[in-house]
Parts: sequence; C-alpha cells; structure tokens
Amino acid sequence: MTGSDQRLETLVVSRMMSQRPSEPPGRDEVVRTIREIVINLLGCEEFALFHRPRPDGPLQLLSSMGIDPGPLREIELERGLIGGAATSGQLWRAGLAAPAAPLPHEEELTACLPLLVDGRLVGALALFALLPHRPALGASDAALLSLLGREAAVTLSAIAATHGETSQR
Amino acid sequence: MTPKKILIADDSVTVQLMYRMLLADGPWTLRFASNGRQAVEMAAAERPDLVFLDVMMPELDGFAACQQLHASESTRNTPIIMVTTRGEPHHVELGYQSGCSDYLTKPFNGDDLLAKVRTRLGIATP
Repeated sequence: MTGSDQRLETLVVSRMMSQRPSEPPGRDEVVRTIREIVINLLGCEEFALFHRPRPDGPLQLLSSMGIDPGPLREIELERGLIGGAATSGQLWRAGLAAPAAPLPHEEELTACLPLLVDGRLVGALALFALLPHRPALGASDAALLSLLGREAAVTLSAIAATHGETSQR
Repeated sequence: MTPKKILIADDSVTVQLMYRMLLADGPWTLRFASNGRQAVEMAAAERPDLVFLDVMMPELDGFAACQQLHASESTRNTPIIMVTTRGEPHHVELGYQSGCSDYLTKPFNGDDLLAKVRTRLGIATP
C-alpha cells in the first residue's frame, strides 16, 4: 500500500467518524459524505445505497445516483447479485464468481458491498458503471471500499438506533 | 523561501480534506474556497501561485471561474488546474478553452497530484 492509499483510507475513516458525534447528524449528511467518497475516491457516479430497517426484512433503497431506482427500491435477500452478495456477507466484484444469477437491472453492476455490524446485515452499497476513464476496481479500491463499508455500516446503524428504527432494537 | 500559495476550490468537504492530506507535506500553504465565486474573490485578494478549480461548483462553476480569472489582469498568469470526474475529450477541451493550464481527472492519486503541483510551482522533486 502506498502512502497515498494510506492517506485516503485515513480520510475515509476520519470523514465517517466525524459523522458520529454525541449528537448524531441527520442521515442525509451521512449519505452525502458516502456519495462524495464514492464519486471522488472510487470514481463511480452510478450507485445505490441500501439500508435494512427490519432485521428479517429486505434491503430498502436509501439513496441512489445515476441509475433507475425503480427496480432497486426493495431487494430480496439471496435474489440477484445484490441480494446474493448481501446474504454472503462478502464484497462482490465483477470478475468474481456470482453469488446468485444476475437480474436484468444488474448487468452494469461493478461491485456490491454488504454493510455489516457485528456480522448483522444492516445495508449494502452497490456500485454500477464506473466513470468512463476509470479502469476496473483494483485491490486498493477494494480495500478502500471495504473500509468505507465498515465505517458506513456503524454510522448508519448508530443513526438508525438514535431514531429508534426497528433493526436496532 | 516564501511558501507558495495554492488555492483550492471545491464544494465538497471530503475533497477538501483529501487535498489537505495529500498535500500535507511541501513548501506551500493551502487556501480553500467552496464555490467558484469565492475562488475568484480569493484569487484576486490573495494572489495564489496555483489554483485548482473543480468543474461542478455552486454559484459559479469551474469553467466560468476560470474564464474570470483568465480575464482579470491580476490573475491572468496564474496557473489553473481544472479538476473533474469528466475525462472525455470534449470536457477537457472546454477546460482549455476557458483558460486552464492543466487538467486533472478524479479520482486522482497523490503521486499525480504532487507531480502536477511541483511542476506548476517549479519545485524539484525531493
């Protein structure tokens, strides 16, 4: 890992940690930070962020950019690449064995990262097409994405708990 | 040696922090603007040695800010690097037409950023 990569990882952690003060910010602020990191550090302007309001329920779309949100409003676990990756608990990247048969709207999917807190699925981040000048995600991108996922999961989970959402009870 | 001044215009707090981290070590000081209009005002007042302009900014976008800086007597010769997620040739051409000296596409790595900064400021690689 280069010094530059290490600094970007520090950036991700510090930005997400700054969203966890004693008085938690609104979820919109956290979502905006995640968007900024995905766009500016990972080079993707087509993505979807999901949360899981009920611990036994499907993923629900929290925010998206550059894609048709219609088919993504609710994702059943184990269905398609996103549902399959979420169930597996592992980052899926294009080129790896598919965790489930892709659905039609997942053709452009580049990566899907389950958001886990203590092994519990609380959401997912799905990256679709990368920017045209951007090559496929490399090892350092995957590391950065995983780090973002860990930090985002904890932050979103804390906010959900503050707002008394079902999944945190 | 007097530290060089670098003005960075980007409305994203995350991106501003990224510049702070990647440019933490060097004979320069960093100043930040959150939109194009503020960048033009700060450049006129503070006469930076180098300006980074994000293309997508509120109030005044990077292209318009670049045109204003290029049209002003006091900032005409200041090197300007346009920064954008759009690396397609016609976007790059738009940047050069607005008067920028160089172009940087996001996401960029620290080495590329440092190389451009050092080149534009005439600072030798340590």
